[in-house]
Amino acid sequence: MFPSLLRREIIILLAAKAALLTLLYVLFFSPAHRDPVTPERLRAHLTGE
Amino acid sequence: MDLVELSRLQFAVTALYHFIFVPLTLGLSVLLGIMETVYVMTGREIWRDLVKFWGILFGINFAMGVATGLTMEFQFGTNWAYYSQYVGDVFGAPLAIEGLMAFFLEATFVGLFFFAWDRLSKVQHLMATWTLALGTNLSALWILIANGWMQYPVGARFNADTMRMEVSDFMAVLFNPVAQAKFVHTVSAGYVTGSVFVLAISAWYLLRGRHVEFARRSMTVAASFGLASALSVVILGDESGYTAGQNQKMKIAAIEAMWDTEPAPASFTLFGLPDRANHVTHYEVQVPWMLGLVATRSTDTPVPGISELVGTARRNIADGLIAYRALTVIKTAPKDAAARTALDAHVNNLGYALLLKNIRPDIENATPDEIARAAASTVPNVPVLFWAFRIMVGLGLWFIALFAASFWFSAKRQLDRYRIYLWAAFLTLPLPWIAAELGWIVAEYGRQPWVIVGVLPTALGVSSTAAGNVLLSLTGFALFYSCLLVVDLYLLLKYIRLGPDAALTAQGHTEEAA
Repeated sequence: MFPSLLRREIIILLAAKAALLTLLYVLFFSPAHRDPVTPERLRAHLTGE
Repeated sequence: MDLVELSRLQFAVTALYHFIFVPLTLGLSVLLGIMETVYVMTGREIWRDLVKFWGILFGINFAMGVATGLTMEFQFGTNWAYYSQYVGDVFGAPLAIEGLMAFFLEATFVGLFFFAWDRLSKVQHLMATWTLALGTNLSALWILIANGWMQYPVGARFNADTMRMEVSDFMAVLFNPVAQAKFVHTVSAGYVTGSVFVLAISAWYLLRGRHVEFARRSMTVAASFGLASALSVVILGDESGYTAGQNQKMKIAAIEAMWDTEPAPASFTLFGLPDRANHVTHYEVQVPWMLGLVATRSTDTPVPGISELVGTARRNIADGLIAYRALTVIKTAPKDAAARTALDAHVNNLGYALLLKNIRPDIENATPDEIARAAASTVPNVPVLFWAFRIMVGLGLWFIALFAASFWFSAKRQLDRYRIYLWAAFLTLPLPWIAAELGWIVAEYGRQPWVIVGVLPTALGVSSTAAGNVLLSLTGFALFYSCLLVVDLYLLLKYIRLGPDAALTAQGHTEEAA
């Protein structure tokens, strides 16, 4: 369907994109970086002193 | 700058940057549909070339719009976690529908638009182009429904058990008058942007004597569509003014620098120098009756001034404190019936009481002076709104004049006769973006100090994160977006300089190579 050169380029690009997204997730968005907001925390945030 | 200011700055920078691309996508998508309709009806190949050339520029812009829009959605989670938790059930619904319905539609059909010229019949491809235009406009609709709810939060109620705003009437959210007025005004502004883009670049070709037939046809379409759109912007902007006059009275008073309530029918201030310190506007030039007619559509209804609205806010804060005290009781005694009754009776002003959080944490003990300070904080930055609005309106009137002249020259087949007109059309190129960005500044800066008007003060919506994190990501956005802007301008200028023949040939070679 695609020439082999194009197929290889697409695979390399997709792999690089997946690696970059994984890196972004690990560095900035993984659970370790999250500050979960629960109803209790929100209640304390709005009504706490 | 503190955490709140940095979070606001980051959202403002990314939103204003994103909106460089949105109006052009909205406008060009419809212009492509019109041009391709002419191609299908006449069968003349030049119209197909028109669609393909402007389509290349549309594609560059579309890709940038998608890339810059995604980051804004992430910010709701990273920088605005309390906001997302508090109103996510309402605000998130139109955003999710936008992604599933409108974005998927446009993302699918943009592929057909570019790659299916030889695989679909003329009519099938035309349908794909119009569906792409429909998708971009539906995308704007859902985003503006979400934004309209931030300006005028209808169809939702506060649930003290979940500590969230929840949808009570989805149809009210959907047909929110503020959202509907914003939608038609915004898409019309997008159509003007697309038309100015086509008009200005075509004028540049005519000034250089290049691609004359191509440029004349492009200008003819842009002139007629642009004139209709520019007139619509003003008429629909008037509708926005009326809905704001009914539902966002403080914003209207700030735009007008109207410190005190005027007797009906209120005058519109054409020019003046607002003085925030002394609450006066120097050197006022007024048009009698005009504001009363726009904001109330009557001659006997006064438009409240800032002082009166601050007084209303003070009473709302006092009322909201009753709801707040009831909420603190419910925190320790969830089944307290008296507290729940009190909360239900005063919950509409709970947000006003929360304004006191910017002044002291134990807001139940707020003094009358602190309540007065919190009420005064409901006044947005008057000079910024005053001038942003007037420059936007002035530009809108210039677009009408330009498109009227373009329409006249087009009808008389004299588009390339007057070089001064061509220069005026070319130099207008950046102006619709300036007008659109100023429009958003009026809308969003005029919403302050609220993130959801009357419901949640902006400062309470930000995440509990370090200001340094936000500064780091803001710096990253500034660098990354600057690179994107360079790439965007390089690509646009490259294809514009190449012109339709060479650009289409270059694209054809690319496709063959692929």
